[in-house]
Amino acid sequence: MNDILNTILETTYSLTQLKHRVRLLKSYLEKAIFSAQAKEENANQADLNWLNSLPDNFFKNFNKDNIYQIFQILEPQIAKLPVLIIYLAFEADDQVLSQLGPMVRKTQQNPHLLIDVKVDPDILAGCALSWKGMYKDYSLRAKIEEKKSEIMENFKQFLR
Amino acid sequence: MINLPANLPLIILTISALVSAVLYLREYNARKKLEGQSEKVLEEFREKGLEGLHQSIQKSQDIISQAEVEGVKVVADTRFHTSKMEKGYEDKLGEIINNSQAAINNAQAQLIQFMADLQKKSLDFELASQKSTQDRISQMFERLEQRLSDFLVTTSQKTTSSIELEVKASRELIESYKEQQLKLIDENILAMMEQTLSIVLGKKLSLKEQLDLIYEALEKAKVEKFIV
Repeated sequence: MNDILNTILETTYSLTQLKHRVRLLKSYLEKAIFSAQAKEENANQADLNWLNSLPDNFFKNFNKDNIYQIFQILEPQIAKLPVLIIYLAFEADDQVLSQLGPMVRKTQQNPHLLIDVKVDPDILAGCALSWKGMYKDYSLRAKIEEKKSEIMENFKQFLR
Repeated sequence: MINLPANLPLIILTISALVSAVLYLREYNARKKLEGQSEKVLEEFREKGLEGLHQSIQKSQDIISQAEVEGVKVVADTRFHTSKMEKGYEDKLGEIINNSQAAINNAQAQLIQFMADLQKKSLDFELASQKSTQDRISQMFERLEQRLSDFLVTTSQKTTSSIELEVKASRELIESYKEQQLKLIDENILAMMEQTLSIVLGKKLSLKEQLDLIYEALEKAKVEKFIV
């Protein structure tokens, strides 16, 4: 079970993406197993690319007897996964996510760490993080706040 | 009863007329007589009067002639006395005139002297008055100068102190305004800066720069062991 989840998580970085891909996989497998259709008609190119990127032996884990069981176990496991909420100053698309995800996993040395991207324009640049209910601001706003007195002194030098 | 004749009134009238005539005649005769008597008397009176008049005329002529004589006498006396009096008056008048002349000369001399003294005194008074006026004017000017100087000094001091107070108040106002503005700036500068940065950085930072900043934040989180 963990192998299936880990395989999915290898190239899936966000919780939203994970849920979407799990739904996609389930739909694809249902069609593949029960209707002999190998193609997912409603998927976009990115989804298809992902499905194609999965190793061949991955799909061998699924058959008509265990497919629903696997997903029934998978879904609660997904719900329990810890998610790092990242607050960005801009809207992150899939391209940004594909760069951000590996960066987060590499820095935090957690290859299966999931992220959830939210937008907060007030942070200006950089990011703020929320992990297990704890919020910490590492953004430019926090740096400005940290250096407030120094910045004020510099401004006052101009006023004198 | 006796029956009166119808001609009774006529008779009575006739009788009356007769009586009246008789009476008239009688009266006429009396008057005539009287007139005669009165003419006589008048004649007598006239003669007496003429006589008296003649006597009067004579007497008056006597009186007149006497009066003329007396008058001539009086005139002569009067002329004599008059000439005497005139002479006396002339002498007296001459004396008086001489005395008056002398008095007038004296008075004139006194007057001239008095005028000369008066002129001198007037000149002295004028000089003294001029000097006194000049002294008063000088004193007035000195006092005026002194008061003006005191006033100017006082005014200058008051003005200076007033200006200094105003300047001090203005400086304090400026300082308080400056502090107020600085305080406002202090309160809002970070917000202004953040807003400016959000406007500028949103358009200026590239994706790579954004990701670099995010990477930096993640490294810092790692160092702080935020994600465990």
